[in-house]
Amino acid sequence: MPSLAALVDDILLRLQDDETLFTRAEIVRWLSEAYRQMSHRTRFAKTFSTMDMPPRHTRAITFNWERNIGSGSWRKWTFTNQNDHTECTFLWEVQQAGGMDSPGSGTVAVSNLWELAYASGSVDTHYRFMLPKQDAGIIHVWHDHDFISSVTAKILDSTETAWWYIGGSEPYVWLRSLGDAHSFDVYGIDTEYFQSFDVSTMDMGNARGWFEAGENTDTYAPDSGIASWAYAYAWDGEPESGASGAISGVGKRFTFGPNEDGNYYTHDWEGDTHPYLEAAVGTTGFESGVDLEIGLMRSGVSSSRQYWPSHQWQTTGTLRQAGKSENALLVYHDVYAADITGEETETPMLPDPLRKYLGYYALSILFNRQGEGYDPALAGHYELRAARGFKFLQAFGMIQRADQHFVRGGGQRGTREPPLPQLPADYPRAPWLR
Amino acid sequence: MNRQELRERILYRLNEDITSPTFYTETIANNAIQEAMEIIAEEIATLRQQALIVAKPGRHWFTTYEVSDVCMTPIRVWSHGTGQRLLPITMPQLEQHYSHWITVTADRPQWWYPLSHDAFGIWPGTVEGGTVLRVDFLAWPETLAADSDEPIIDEVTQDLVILYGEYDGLIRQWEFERAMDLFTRFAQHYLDTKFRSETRRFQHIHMNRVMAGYNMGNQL
Repeated sequence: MPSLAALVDDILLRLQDDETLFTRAEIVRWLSEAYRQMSHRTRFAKTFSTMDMPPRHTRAITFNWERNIGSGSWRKWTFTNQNDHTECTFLWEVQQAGGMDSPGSGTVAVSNLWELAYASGSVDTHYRFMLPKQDAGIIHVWHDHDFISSVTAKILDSTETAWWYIGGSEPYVWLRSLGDAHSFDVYGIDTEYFQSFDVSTMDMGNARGWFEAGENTDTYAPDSGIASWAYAYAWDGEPESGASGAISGVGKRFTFGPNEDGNYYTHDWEGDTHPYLEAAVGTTGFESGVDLEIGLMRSGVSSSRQYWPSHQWQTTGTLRQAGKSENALLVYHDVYAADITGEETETPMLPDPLRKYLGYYALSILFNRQGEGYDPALAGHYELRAARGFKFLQAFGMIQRADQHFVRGGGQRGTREPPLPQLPADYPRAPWLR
Repeated sequence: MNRQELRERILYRLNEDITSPTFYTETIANNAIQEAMEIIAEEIATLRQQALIVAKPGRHWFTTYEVSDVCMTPIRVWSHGTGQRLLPITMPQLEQHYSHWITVTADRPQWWYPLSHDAFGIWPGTVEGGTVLRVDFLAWPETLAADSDEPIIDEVTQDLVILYGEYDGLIRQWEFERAMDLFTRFAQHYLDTKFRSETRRFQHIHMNRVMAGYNMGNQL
């Protein structure tokens, strides 16, 4: 499959341009738009995200304008009052500022929702979760593996209660947020705090593993893609000076040292200048009980559960977050593609054979650009080609379509006539049927 | 026809030198051949393959990348060890069946369901020991790596590849009207191919019904 750079080359050929009218950077921008639009309009990509209960946010903000600066998720923890002039912490402050004679006692105020686990008294808030930036719509939500129904604000209004802070129970409904985009609310809040995983040494660089907060009962192993050492060696430089030249693969040195005399040794007593080395040394990983920890952690494996990468299409970087579905929210949602930032960027969400439609989308725009390269006929043609790709992608997620006779469900049960061939309306009739 | 023969026919129709084309290079022609096969695979969906995958203990979900690099979409899943076909189901139906369905594991998976364009799940999930799944899937055409490689599609359909290559050459030359004529013919042809495929499928289903009725009649 040609790379994105090759796709840009091909687009320039079709434009019959040598970067005089159209720059490569401009073409990449349109390819990025195509990638984003294809994934968003067709909703072919879906994934899971886990979220701790109570929700955690990157930052707590006081004023609305703080949303526009910084990055990450946020929670506004104050009450806006007096036409944005005042931000209040407690309800009684609003009453006081409004000139009410006898303000009430108010409720607990917290800046981060996890603080509710340690607060007492009534709470005038609900849980608002922020979704990943590339979210395109929620499909299902579970709490502790229990399905939560979606609800509309209209139905909640009909209860004639202060539904916006329903507390003291397990979560039972979720509402597409009344707040900003990429967020949703959960009602029926459980204030007990559950943290799913700590990613070890996260504050000191890249994750090398994770552990379960509170109890560490689960077994896991980092899945680094390199399952075993390729060879063992005794001293530095040995792999590079082998009789047959440098050895390929990743090796494990089975010695300690060198000590002050420049010697390598296999047991602690041999090199008594290094009293902190106490373990016996094996020549392979399993002998010494040392986990193979090479490279960056990308996923985990376990015999008791499945670790599912929530960003399975992210091919660069390392693990930055780990969550689990026990005592937490599990969200199944549509996602769309992240931006293409350069010709070296991959498009992992899109199967390679479908990448051609990105090119057609870009060509439909480039041929339509006012100026010397303007050609509405070709633009229209490529637009149709791209639209065909969109249509195919829409059907792409419905992977049961070829197996409909076996689909379980009311509409498919019982004896049915076999379907007739489906042909377009303009397909010519057979001559003998005239 | 192999790739070289296909390419030569395309170049001949474009009035290019077969051995050393100038405007429409061999690389572009090869890419057009590949693209035509992909489009035919998308539109007609007749390329089918089969693969076995290991479902390790505790697993519910799988990606198509685990099945095969050329896996377009799975269409049938079997539990290979038990020889039992898993029935397709949707996630809402699983919810209706049991609200805690995600937590269920068992020796024998019963159903499979789509998760994303490149992922699917089985229910119940696997237990200690795991299992092997057999996945039938619609496939993308393999990349033709050498001139002697032959496309997996039948020779009647290979004519469409030549037609597409000619269209591709003309649209690159901005010969819009002629290119559109060819593209319309290409689309019409793959509809014919689709018609053939659907007819075969219909005949197959129809004959099965006839045979089933015949057998049932005998029993009655």
